[in-house]
Amino acid sequence: MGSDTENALKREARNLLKKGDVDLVLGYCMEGDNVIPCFISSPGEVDGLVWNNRCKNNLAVYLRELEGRVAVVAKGCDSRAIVELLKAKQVEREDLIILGVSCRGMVDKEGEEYGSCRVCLHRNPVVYDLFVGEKVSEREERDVDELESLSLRERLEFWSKQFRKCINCLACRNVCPMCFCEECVLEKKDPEWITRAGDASNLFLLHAIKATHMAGRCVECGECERACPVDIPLMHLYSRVCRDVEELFGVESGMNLEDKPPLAAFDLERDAMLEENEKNKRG
Amino acid sequence: MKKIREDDVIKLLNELRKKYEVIAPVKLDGRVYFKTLGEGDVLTLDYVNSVVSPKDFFLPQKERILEFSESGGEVTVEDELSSKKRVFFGIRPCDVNALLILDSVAREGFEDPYYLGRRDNTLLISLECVEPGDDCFCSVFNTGPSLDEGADLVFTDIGDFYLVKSLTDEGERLVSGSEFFRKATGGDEETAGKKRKECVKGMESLDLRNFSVDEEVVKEKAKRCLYCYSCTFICPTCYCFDVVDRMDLYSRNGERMRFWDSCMNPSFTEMAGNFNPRDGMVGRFMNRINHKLRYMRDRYGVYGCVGCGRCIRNCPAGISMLEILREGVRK
Amino acid sequence: MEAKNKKDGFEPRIVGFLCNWCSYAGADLAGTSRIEYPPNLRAVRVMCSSRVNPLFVLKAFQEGADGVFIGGCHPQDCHYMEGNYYARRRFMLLKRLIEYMGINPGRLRVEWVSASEGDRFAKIVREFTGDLKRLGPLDLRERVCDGI
Repeated sequence: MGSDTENALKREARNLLKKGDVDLVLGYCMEGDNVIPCFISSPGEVDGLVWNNRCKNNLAVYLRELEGRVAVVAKGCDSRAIVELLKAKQVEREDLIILGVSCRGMVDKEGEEYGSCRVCLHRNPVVYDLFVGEKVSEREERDVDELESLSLRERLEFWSKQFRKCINCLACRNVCPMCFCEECVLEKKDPEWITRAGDASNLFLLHAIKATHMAGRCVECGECERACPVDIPLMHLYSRVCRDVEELFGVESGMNLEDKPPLAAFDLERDAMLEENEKNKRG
Repeated sequence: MKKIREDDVIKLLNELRKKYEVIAPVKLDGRVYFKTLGEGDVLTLDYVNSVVSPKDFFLPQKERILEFSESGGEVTVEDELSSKKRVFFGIRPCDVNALLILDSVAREGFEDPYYLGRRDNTLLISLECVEPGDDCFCSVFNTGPSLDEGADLVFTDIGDFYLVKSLTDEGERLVSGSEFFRKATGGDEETAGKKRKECVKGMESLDLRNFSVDEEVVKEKAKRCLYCYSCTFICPTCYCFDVVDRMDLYSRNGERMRFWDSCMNPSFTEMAGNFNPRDGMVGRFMNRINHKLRYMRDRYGVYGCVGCGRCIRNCPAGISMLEILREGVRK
Repeated sequence: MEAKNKKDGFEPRIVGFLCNWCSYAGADLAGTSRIEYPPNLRAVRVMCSSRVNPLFVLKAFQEGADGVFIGGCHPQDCHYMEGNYYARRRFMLLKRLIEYMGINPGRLRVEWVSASEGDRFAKIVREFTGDLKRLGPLDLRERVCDGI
């Protein structure tokens, strides 16, 4: 990956900090042979910034907690998460300077590309104030989801097997840039919809509910899958819901600031037609 | 000392299954988990360590500790104590040491009969490491890669055979009662010794005598922590739990459940009226590190970390316990 | 429980969420008009079909329901002007999700029934019960926990 981009990134970051345009630059740096998110507050530290194919983290997740004006390095998924956070009024646009970078897919320690990156259709940032480096070409078509060829029975078996591995750590929720509710239904005690003390059917409920909450919101960055200690293919679930929202209501999450939340909107005539179609297909 | 052929290990476990519940490493979706062996489960011996730590079998993610019911004004309570005889095969030395730490917690003051019931009824067959994993740092705490106490039997890979060392009478009885073990030669022991040395060579060595937690460094790392708390769930020495009573609709019968909790969860320290003494994220992170590297040492004389590397492997923000140790020594 | 396992004698358990202003009144009318329909549906009165959280549906399945019925006012008749429009979108999506996770989408049925449609309410419940009898028991908890 181009070190030109990295140098340009450093240049922009240094400028912004020197001019006092921002209090903080949120980017990536190295620790040992690991790439980690970092918070840079003085021009002298800017040299630590890196940009390579290991910058997997979605930096948008930190934005809500940070104070002051922040410049954030944003690849495709980060920028989509920022759009969603802006739509949900979780961050202020004027407090942000978005340093857009294009991504060629991130890889893990062994050099294998992450699942979410393999299927990614938005590698270029969708919103930015400054763009650094070069745009990359986007994939046109989505892969076919192999789960769709399974029968209902096989699907339930597949997911049950996956959920039985779940240790209920909720890492998938905690790392999600889109999970910002003050009170989460997954941990609510009264009424306790989902109990940590119950059998595996609670895990089915947990993941199904989380998926419904991801509808029209998930930006498919894959953080949940990477954080999951037991490798549950959560992105399949969330991508599916997002595809459904796209197909039905024509909204792709994180792409446009003007989009209304698809489940808090309606279109009388279109929805009536959709309902008819769906009924014929699904009873 | 005895030794056992690699192929015979499976036969041995199958033999043991007649008398015990046998827990062993099994591959699931390409990764290794410990599992109670059932029909059709295939044992794997090619692994660094399991994804979820073995504590799940002693202090399960969730367990029913008692049942209660009320009828005619009388209340009956029934404890669920485990006395099932089990054999745990393939536990790594770091995890054995982690169990020793959990033991001291479970035996301190009030005894934890649920944990100890499982612990006392489980025979541990440990498998020493001959090749360190990428994130392993047990050498720092001397909790591996070899093992001298804590398990009943210790296996060491010496090629076609496993060298078998028994550390307890129960282990000895198991070895002498089975036809799969044969006498080991001096050469075998030498090979094992060499392999152990090789393994340590490839690992981090730190002198912890000058170690103290460098709070500034930890705070810096805490900034990027995402508070996903999966580290506490897969950690072999994290033992915090929550207890709830679950009642039926008529509030007559119920069960008391205990399940893992995490100090990284804001609700961990939340009190009535939403007051939270350990409110800040940094404070929660600090507590976890201090608990592992300071409080446990002061209280039980050992570090609360055994260097299994699970948290490093899994951390989405790339926070490394080893790095915290290094910085603490550097200072 | 025993009858449940035999497919012939199987009586599906249906949880029905009925909106206060239309469907619940429709069910009421079916009752007062002495129209016969299967007793398999357990009605829960809610103020509006948009009050029904997808969580309610999934929880019902988890707790042993074989089917879930959601009844609301006809489009453009909602007591709260637009509640059923949100419900419509929400449950279109939920149907697709449960299908993806392996539950037959036919087990979730959303219908608009007005207060005057007592006979239609009875007809829908008859139909739905018949459909579920053909599909057989769901047994979600057992299937997820034991993998049967």
